[in-house]
Amino acid sequence: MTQAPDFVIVGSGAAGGVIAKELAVSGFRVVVLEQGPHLKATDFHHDELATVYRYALTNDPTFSPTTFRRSAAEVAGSGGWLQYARLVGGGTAHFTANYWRFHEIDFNERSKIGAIAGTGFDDWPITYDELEPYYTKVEWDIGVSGQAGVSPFDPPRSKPYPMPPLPVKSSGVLFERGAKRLGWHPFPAPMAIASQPYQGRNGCQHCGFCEFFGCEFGAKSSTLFTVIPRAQATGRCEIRSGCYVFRIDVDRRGRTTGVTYYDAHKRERRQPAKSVILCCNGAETPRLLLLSASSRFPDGLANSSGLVGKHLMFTGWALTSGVFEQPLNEFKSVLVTRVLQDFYETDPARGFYGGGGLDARLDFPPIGFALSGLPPDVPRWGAEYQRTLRHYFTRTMNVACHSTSLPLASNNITLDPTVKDAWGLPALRVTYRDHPDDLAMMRWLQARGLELLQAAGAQRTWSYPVTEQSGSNHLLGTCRMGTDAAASVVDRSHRTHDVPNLFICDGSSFVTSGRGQPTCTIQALAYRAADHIARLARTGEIPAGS
Amino acid sequence: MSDGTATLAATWLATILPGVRAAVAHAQRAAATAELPPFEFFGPEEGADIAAITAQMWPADDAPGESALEAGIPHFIDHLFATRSDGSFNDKDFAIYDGPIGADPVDGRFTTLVRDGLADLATRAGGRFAALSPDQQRQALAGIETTPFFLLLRRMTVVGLFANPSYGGNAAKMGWRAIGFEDRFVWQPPFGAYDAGA
Repeated sequence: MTQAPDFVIVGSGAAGGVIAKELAVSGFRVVVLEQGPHLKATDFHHDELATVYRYALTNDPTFSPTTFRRSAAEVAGSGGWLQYARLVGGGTAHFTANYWRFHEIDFNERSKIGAIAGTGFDDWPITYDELEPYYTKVEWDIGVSGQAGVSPFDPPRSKPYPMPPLPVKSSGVLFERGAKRLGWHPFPAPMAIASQPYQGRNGCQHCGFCEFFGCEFGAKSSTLFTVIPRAQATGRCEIRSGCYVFRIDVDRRGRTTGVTYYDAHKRERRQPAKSVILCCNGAETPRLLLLSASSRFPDGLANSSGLVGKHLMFTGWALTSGVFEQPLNEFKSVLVTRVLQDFYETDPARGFYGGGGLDARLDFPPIGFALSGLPPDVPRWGAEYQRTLRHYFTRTMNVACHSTSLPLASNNITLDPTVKDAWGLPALRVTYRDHPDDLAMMRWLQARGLELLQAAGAQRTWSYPVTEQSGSNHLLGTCRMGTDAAASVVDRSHRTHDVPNLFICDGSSFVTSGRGQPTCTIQALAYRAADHIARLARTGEIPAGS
Repeated sequence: MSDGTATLAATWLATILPGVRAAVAHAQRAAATAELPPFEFFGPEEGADIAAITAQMWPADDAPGESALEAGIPHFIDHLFATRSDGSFNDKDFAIYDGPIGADPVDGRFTTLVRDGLADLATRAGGRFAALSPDQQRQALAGIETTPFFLLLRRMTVVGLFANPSYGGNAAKMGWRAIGFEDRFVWQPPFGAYDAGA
């Protein structure tokens, strides 16, 4: 019988890939279990129908259904959507690669502005200063392109970016023009994409298929192309794909002994481990804990606080559009090249909580643009539709608005009581209704986006009405971090309060949402968590070694 | 908001001489009623109607010989139905649907929807839709443009036109060329008119 590895990590995405590499490099034996396949750069393509609409890289509702409702009083049905990648590399394989650090205020905002009634708004148990070395580490370890010192709102940093920013696109030039006319402070977008060859990887070739798609050049700094190969190269880390973990096993002492999963042929398998680390994302992590309920842990594992699954946050989102005289050809190159964060902090003068940032992009590949990219009053078929589309596709850009979501206990992940997935396990049930301040913030930022486009000289602008959100690909807050075991799920080291050899690190660890771009912080947390976990293993606080 | 689109549309209309428009329409009608390759799922009359409908949705007014017909849309749609005739339309087919059908568009009701829709259109037309004049066709479609039947065919047409040509609906990259999209793996700056020299 083979000996149990020191660690089983469930999920190979933003956090799982980083922790696997850090622990394997530190000398520990690691097995990573991933639901999806292990693809190579050459497996990726530009097939919008397969990728965006038929879930080639993401959770597929035909076998992993999600149910949705606005409040606990309703029976959940269809109409919601959660999107997370299901392949080695996870969200970092298909994400846009926007790579904003959080600012100091994201960690201590409650102390600065006070409590917000009816919400779980709170400080993090760690500060920006404490996380800063890990932000720097992730930027250099995976490879981030950007330009420090341009934005006056940038948080302090100990090192510049390792690569210069990607070349500016027409949307970036126009964004900068409009923003400067309004007295705002645009700066080159920090992107987890190599702007030049980096650590043996290709630089970006500007193919234009980042958002939703995998990178066929390996230039996107996904864990798939960066830390995972380095973890494997140690000889101490196995990446096992096609494994759907559905239970965390616990012994009589209340310690985890490993996990049970279905392999690609739906055969039940067990993987023992000395410790288990969950990095499944803010929806699947709480679901797995709830699925692991037992007589000893009747409300789900690590859930003595009752907070597993609670405080789900999506981050706020709004979109505006403008059409310009000349072609921008936004279908080329990375999605975003300019950003601004002038409205990052909460301003009492606005009358509501929140803050965020804006970026320049065209959020639609060809099918998406033809379906939803035109102004609302343009006919949707016939000669005028066709002429407008011909003119607009190359000349349109968006300003996207990214903002805060307040943590509300009434927004959560639970197990659906009736709907099952293709393995017969309870489906994810999402309950979500945006806080009024979150909607107000989205609308306020959207108005700034329109101002910017007009100041940039758009011939016509329009926007997409902000309504209550029914889904997201940012899944945050559902196993929040804290020092009080009654008010959080994991401690400052990402160790669960209830099970000493069970750890959680992913978007679920967030206490507040940040301003729309979580991946950089998930990965900084992962480097920090790996340091803490390795220390616990070395000092014998958790079992490790032979 | 500016009224840029309206101005643009008015300019376009003014540049299209009525005679040209009639000739184009005639060619379109001829193409729609000409002999089409056999369909897998639809009967010949249904297929001809779908061809005529999609040619109205994506006509050849500005690019002769590049309507939905030449792009392969009727057979793209036919193939979708042929491969899901057992009622296996599911969530993956949300891509081809953006209107309401009762509770959930997740079953073979798409088949009923499109067959009933075609029959209804024929009843309204007092004969097959494909046999109507182009003006009558447009008028008939304008009368049903908020129906699930219309929205389904409209969505299928658009998806087919701009999906990868391997799906059969963007023949010779006709849809992509029309909007100025080019699928390449390598581009160099400048990408557009505003970043030249940036």
